[in-house]
Amino acid sequence: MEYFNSRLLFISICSLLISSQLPARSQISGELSLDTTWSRVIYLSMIPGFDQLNAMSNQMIIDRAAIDENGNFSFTTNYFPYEYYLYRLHISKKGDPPASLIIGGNDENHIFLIANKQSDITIRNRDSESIFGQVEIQNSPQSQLLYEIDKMVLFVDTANFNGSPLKRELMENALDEKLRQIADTCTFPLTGIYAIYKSNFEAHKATNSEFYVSFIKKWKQEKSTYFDEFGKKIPVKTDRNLSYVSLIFGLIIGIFLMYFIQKRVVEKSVNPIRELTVQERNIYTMLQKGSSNKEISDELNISLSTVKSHVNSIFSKLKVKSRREILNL
Amino acid sequence: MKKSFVTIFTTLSLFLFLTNFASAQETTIFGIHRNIELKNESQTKEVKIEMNEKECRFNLRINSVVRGGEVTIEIYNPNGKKQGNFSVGCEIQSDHAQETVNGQISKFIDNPELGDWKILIIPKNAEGKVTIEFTQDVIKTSSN
Repeated sequence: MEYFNSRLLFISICSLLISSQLPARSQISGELSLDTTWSRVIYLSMIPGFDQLNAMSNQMIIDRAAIDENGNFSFTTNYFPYEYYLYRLHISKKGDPPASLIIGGNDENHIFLIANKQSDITIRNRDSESIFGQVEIQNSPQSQLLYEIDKMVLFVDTANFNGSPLKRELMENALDEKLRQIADTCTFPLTGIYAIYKSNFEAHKATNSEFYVSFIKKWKQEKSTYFDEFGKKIPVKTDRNLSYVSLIFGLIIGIFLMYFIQKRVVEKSVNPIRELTVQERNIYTMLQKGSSNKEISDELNISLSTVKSHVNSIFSKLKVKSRREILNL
Repeated sequence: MKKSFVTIFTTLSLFLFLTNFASAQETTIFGIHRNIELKNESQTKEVKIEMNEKECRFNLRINSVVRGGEVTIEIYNPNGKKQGNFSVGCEIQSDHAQETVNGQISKFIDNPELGDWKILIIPKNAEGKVTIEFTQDVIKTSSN
């Protein structure tokens, strides 16, 4: 009873701790420091697939919010799906249309987040050359990891490799490998796919196909459009396919085995004479000519009983019962 | 008097040294500027950029303004590896309601692959404009 009470107490404390950690509000909010070249409106877009990471249209924008004089903004997320999706926050330059995407350089105007209905994400930018150059993302480790991945890619893209294209290529390959490691060890499935997409995976599809297949298998419980899209690019061999392959392989092996066994049997049946000794072969040759035991005895200078013994042995080895059968061989 | 003369002389010497050091790095800029108008265009266009100088910085900025249809921009290095892309598209297209979508990509690469870089402009019933600005800044550092 005492054990039961202490366990109940433990569960109650855990529940309290967990409930205190749960997000109280469903929102994406933040504080952005902007200069006067930017409009004070922030846009939220839903990214339906990783192929649309760098796509922009008005239809992708699902919400907009004003940025107040202190740089604060807020979006509610209570209408988001329960499943995690990829979202993009962006700001437009003054005079540009709302649907403006700037990739790279100091004017890069967007950041990606992973969120769902219950997300309560806060972002803050710090002093940097670009708006999202130094950003702190709270309550969303998967979004923070997306941001870190983008910084890694940008670093290798713009780093000076002292005039050596080979060194750049090696660094790019090392980055791709590092991104695959992140995808492999990451506990967030969407962040994992994001790392793979950033690792130039289309170029490595043939060389690392096993890795991609194992990644899909690892997250086979994930039912999302992102995984469907990725799975189509990396064809996974199903068990059914595997069983067909095994069946075909087994049949081929079986056919080969039967062929060799039959060949050996035929060889054996065609050449039983090889099993005869030299003396027996001599006697066999004379038997085929129709010689009697006496004639063989005289010709080979051996006793009659020896001839009979050899003849019996020949009959046995050739599996015949009479001299007539030997004549027909 | 002597002390202030030494101070002025040292300051001037330091200034001259620093000026000389700074002028040891000279930058030569080769630029390309292209404007491509798209009028209900659906044919892929290819723009080649020749990178022929070592020790340089590759500066590329592609801007597209689309008022109808879609445009996809893809950048490839001389080895054929994709170095960047974006796409912009409009859904509404009528005389009364017109939307505009902007897309821009900037690439800055120090000591990039030498050879012909390729920019593919893939429009689909596109109305708008694509601007390509490219410079290669050659940084020459003198030995003295």
